[in-house]
Amino acid sequence: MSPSAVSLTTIFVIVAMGVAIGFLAGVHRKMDLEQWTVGGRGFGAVLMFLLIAGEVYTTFAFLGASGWAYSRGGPTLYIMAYLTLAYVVSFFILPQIWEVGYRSSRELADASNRRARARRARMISSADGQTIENRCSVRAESA
Amino acid sequence: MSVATLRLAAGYNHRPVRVKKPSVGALLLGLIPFIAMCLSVSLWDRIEPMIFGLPFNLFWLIAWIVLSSLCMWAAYRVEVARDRKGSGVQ
Repeated sequence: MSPSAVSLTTIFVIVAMGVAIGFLAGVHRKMDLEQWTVGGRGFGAVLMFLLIAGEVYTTFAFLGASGWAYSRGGPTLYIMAYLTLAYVVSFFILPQIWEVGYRSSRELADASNRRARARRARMISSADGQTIENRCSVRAESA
Repeated sequence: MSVATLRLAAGYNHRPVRVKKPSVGALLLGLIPFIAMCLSVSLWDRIEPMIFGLPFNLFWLIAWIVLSSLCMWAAYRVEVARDRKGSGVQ
């Protein structure tokens, strides 16, 4: 078996397993939109930790950065600076975003669920969530 | 106590959510890592002296990863102290 065949097989097996688990999970229970989008708000601490760790340590951290340092050298030092400074910015911004999310207690699909009664609009907004999220600028005004 | 009103401009939540602004002291503490790692590159971008076998600029960046954590810890203390003082007033 050639290396590319091995990697392709691995990818397809993992995708097939993910799809099968997803469908099996939905067979015996009735799911609403909240369960589909945010797991019924019932993710445990361990699962949340693993998800956040997966978000933070991307493929770039393991493969991209090292490969780039190997091929380009010195300029990749900037990675350490920008990652650190990103967290400095996050310290000030993320609590406020959390506050907005907590007080309004709505995910994006939730919001469109209440706002747009039509089922089709709800489905489109779920599928198109990223676009709407980008349009959703947070406006600050003094009180 | 000054608060900022955040409102999602997309319009699905018309109730404004009030969030607190970070204090000036915390913002200044957050500015320190930016000055050290971003705005003063020409001051520390050199190979000599080697420290622990690392070129000086690499050592500087690694050192500031740790020192940035200290700055943010101090900023956190500033925010907590302000919250404790402000909670009675608000």
